[in-house]
Amino acid sequence: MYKILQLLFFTIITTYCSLSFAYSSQEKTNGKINTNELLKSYLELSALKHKVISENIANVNTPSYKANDIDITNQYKNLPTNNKSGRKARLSCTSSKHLLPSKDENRKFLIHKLQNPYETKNNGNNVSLTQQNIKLSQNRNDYNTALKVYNTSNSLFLSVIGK
Amino acid sequence: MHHAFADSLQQSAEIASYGSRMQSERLKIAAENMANENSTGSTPNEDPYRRKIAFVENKYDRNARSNLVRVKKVTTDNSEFIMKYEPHHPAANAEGLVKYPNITREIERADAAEAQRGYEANLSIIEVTNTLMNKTIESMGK
Repeated sequence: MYKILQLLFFTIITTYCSLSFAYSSQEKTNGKINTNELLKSYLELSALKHKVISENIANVNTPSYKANDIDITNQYKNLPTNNKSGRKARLSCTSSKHLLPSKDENRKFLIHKLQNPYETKNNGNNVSLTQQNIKLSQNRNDYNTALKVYNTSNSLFLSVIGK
Repeated sequence: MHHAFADSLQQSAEIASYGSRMQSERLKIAAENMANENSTGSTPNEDPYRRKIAFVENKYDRNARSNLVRVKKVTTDNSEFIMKYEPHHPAANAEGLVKYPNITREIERADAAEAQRGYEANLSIIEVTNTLMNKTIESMGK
């Protein structure tokens, strides 16, 4: 509940701040955080996390399968950093001979092995249904929260133009 | 079937449907084993029913663009048959022993229960996925 209030408050503040710039530039609002873009990528990330969890649950009986996980907070931190400039490195095509980065949404986010599995079975499988169910419901709540905030921020825009 | 630009939610539903199909296959095999608990041969040389085991694999599917779980193959359990003393049975050997299938009912029950739990978990994934999708679609009209 606290989290929802916090997100709502944040949205209202950022939306009011960016309202004056919103219609002059669609993609980026001058230096301000673009709430809708932020929420969009958060929704994408939770949808992907949902996929990862469902894969784990589908593999509850696969021998030697190790559960995967996505860390929502550390996505940017995990990218390799350039020593000189301190910028984060991202893959891009700079030559016609480069393979195209996949259009697949999965490439933007890092999927790694689960760090704290509850149990490992004799066949090397470390999927715990309890753990995955907890993650599933947490992630569902996150998704619903982000969706709610997205709707709220949209209705703020609409109320400004009198609809 | 083409899933060219399916998003994560659709892919989750696909993964969960393959998962539940795999679990139902395991349940089927446990049922078959349990049903054949007493399937002996009709002569002393004939082997009785052998216990079946399902092998599961998780493999990348190019069309679905995600890892899908399937029953790779079904093989037989090569452990010893259970010998029971029944001298009047037509399949009894010289010492009066009959080969019974290598099936322990408790193991099959445990397997069936595990498959049921896995099936339910996959079903709940499908339910949650549907709820999330519907909420997203509803928010489009606002």
